[in-house]
Amino acid sequence: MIAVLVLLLAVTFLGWVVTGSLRGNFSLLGRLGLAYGLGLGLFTYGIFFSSALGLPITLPTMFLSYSVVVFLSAVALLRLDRAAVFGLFKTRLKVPAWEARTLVLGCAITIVVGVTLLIGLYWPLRQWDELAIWGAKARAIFAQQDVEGCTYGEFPFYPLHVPLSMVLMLIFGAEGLVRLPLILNFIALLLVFQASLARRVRSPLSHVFTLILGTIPFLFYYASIAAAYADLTLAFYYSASVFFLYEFMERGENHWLLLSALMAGLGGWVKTEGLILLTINLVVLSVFCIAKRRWKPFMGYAVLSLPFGVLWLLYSSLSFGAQPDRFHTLVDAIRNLLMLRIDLGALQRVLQYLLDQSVSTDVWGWGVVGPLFFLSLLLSLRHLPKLKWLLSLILLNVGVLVFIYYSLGMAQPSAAEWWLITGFNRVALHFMPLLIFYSGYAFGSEMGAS
Amino acid sequence: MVEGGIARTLKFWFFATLVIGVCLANALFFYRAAAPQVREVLVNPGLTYDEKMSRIWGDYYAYMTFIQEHTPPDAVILIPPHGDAYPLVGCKGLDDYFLYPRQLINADQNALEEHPEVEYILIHGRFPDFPVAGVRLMLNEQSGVVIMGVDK
Repeated sequence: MIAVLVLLLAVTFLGWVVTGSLRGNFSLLGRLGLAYGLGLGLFTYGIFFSSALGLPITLPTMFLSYSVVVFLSAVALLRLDRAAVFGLFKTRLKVPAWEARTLVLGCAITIVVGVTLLIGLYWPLRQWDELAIWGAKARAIFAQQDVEGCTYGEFPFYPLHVPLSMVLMLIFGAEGLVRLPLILNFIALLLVFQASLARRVRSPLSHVFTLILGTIPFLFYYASIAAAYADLTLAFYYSASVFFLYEFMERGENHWLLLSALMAGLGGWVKTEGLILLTINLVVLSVFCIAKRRWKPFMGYAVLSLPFGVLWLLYSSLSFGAQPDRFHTLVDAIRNLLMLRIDLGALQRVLQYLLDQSVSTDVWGWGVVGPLFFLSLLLSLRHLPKLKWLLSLILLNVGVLVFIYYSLGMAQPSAAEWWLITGFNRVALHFMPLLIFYSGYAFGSEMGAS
Repeated sequence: MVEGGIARTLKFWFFATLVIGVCLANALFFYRAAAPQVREVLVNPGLTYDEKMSRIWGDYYAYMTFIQEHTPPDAVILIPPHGDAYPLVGCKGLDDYFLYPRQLINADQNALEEHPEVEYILIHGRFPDFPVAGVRLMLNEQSGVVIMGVDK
């Protein structure tokens, strides 16, 4: 247990170094959550890299990978922002003067986190994806001490962040805690969400919306019962990348762009779908750069974020001929779209499903997210100028997801319903933090609390 | 000025009430989902790994444990074809998790010709639907394993 604690602290320290340029611009808890996510992502990527270079995955080589990643991060920080290195440990360390309302909300969020940890740690890997994809790969990688173990389990081209997170636990002799690093992503998501929203709306409103996010049954399911699915982890990395990209667009400070690129890039290291989400960020950023007549941010973002997922795809393709399936389906659908060959029936089916999910009262449904967002959209009409980039990112996300499921249904009409039922909701998991963030900001603006 | 101030205050409290209502509604949704899960954990705090997995995967988990016990780690095993007919046992990825490091091969028409190294064949439902010589070890009427090349 102490070894695991040391590991988690070391991972967070790595992320802390990378977030050095934030200085005091993010709350202490938010920075801790961000540091954990960044540290874990960069660490697992370092392990993949060292294994690809021929080093076995063992405790000493992991320590070596860790040291190299910390060193490279510190050097990069030194080059990008020399002053930040000397202020690495300067952050808002003092406890904020919380008023009673905020304290009550903080307690409620803590209870939600406690329940999630209780259920998440009670169960071993248990759901289909946890076992057949991630668990099988983790077990083989751990036994073979080589990332080539990823050919075990389904889908050999899937990126390795999730199984390598489990391998860390296995190497530290904590087989019963293999889901812990992934459950912690849920806590990190809440911390980063609250800290990001608190930069736009005053407390206790930012805490209220964090509580709303934490109590979405659908999110809770993927944080506890199905904690080792990759979807919540991807939702964490991607939604943080959107919050930071929006900060950059609003304030023009480069460290937000850097952090957004890293988080979006790591999303591509969690799931191949992360590369599609990263492309959405790149598209919106390119429009922003055209409007501002600046190309450097776009180039920097692409250079920093793309290698994570792309290098993995190249490696898996060259090493064991793995190729993402259904890629040609998307290409066909884009071609059909460009030729204006649109099946309105298929499109309507996907849109109807999305609408049904957003207002569903199922036990594991979206909770109040749908109605809250629709109301926020109405409220935010007056505030569109300051919300337009955030709204663009959200609407493009919705559009891309609808298009993906539309194209899958077109390619295999008999399986259209099956695709929707088994995958749509999960792949839309990152909508939750994005929609609640938007709602929080819209309400804050309308209530004069921003 | 005063009227403007009152209007602002009313607007604030309207939205504050709305937000609190939304938060409480979501908390109820959360309670409905989480309460049975918490209850299950509190009622069964000491379940072993096997007991937990048996609760979730039932006969399938018992079957995989049986195969683990009756095949060596370096076994090459033919499993039923992938597809709707055998959604669990025919899913190589899922079997991989339980049976690693054994090599698993999904059956198709030529599987035995292409993989002469196969030493074990899972028996499940109507599979195998071709004649196989060897010793049959059965977990129950439905599931078992054939050890090929071994006479009774």
